[in-house]
Amino acid sequence: MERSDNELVRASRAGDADAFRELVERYQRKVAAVALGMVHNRDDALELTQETFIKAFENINKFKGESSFYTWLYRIVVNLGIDFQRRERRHPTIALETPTLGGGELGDNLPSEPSFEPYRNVRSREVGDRVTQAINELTPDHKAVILLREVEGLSYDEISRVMQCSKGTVMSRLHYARKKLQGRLRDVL
Amino acid sequence: MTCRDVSGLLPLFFDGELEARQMRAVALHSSRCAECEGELRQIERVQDAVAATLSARVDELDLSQVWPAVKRRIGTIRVPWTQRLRLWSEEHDVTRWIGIPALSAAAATAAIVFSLSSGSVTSVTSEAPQIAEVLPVDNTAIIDSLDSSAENVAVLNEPETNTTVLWVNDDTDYGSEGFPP
Ligand SMILES: [Zn+2]
Repeated sequence: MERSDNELVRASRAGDADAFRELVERYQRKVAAVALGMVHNRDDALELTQETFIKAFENINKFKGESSFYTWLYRIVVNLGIDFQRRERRHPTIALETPTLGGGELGDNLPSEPSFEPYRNVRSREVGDRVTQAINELTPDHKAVILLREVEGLSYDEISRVMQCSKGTVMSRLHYARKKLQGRLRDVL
Repeated sequence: MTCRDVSGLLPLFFDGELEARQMRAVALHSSRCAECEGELRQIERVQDAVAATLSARVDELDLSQVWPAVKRRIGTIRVPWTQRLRLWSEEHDVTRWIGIPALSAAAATAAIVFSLSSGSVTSVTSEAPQIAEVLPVDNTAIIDSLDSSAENVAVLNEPETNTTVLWVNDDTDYGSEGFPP
């Protein structure tokens, strides 16, 4: 029988690495989606995902179970992502990786046979590139709100807990970010 | 409701964050107003595009790398013994100790200390009742508190015998980094 998050958290607290592995595998995709939206570059996103789980493990005795485990994880990944971006902004290195959805240097990871999923077609790839670019242009806070709402489907209440701000702030950030994206994507959507 | 009344509510309607009465009112208006319906479609298109884009990009990540990398790093993190002790006391419901003869409690205390130093806490429960049967003493011990705000210190009070046991951990590797995420 599948163990609940709370059971796995308790076992992880006692140092049970297998229990923590289950938590990692259960939530890595969700965490990675937020990480990817926050930092854009795949290597950085993977690094951020790993850092999130390491930080979670180190601090698991501080997780009180008052909110769900995944909102706690989101809080860690969002905070790390915001920190990461502030560091990048102070020390800009190279240009952001050009997103190449479904092609280019990603070839190794993709099935070699042609895919007929709608997203993989040329038009969708172009839209994907534009969406990625538009998200990149948002501030870290606006990015986080958009990702938590549009990708992860969190309620305003959950987002306000993750981001440690009021529901009103969530609403205004979400409104601003959506308007910004609508403006940027008007010609492709 | 007019378009002006509705426009600020459209995102909340879309996200299901309005109360039922308002949800109905906005739904009714939007079903008859092309402009407001168009606004909702715009929000939906952005959501679909963002969700599809991120989902496709996550598919391109090699997530099989995550656990091995995490495992390597957490392998070096030592679970502080205070944490194991706290967990053990939660799991074994410390109130059960009330009624156990003092000697047995003292023996169990020794067992806790012993088992912590040997890295295992599982043997404690089976040992304590056995000793209780062998040495029935009409005296009770209450573990008053098994907690401390400091990570490296645990306090165990036994009011009946007026005993306080203080454990101080010299494990300097562990730092909490002041991180409540
Ligand atoms: Zn209208």
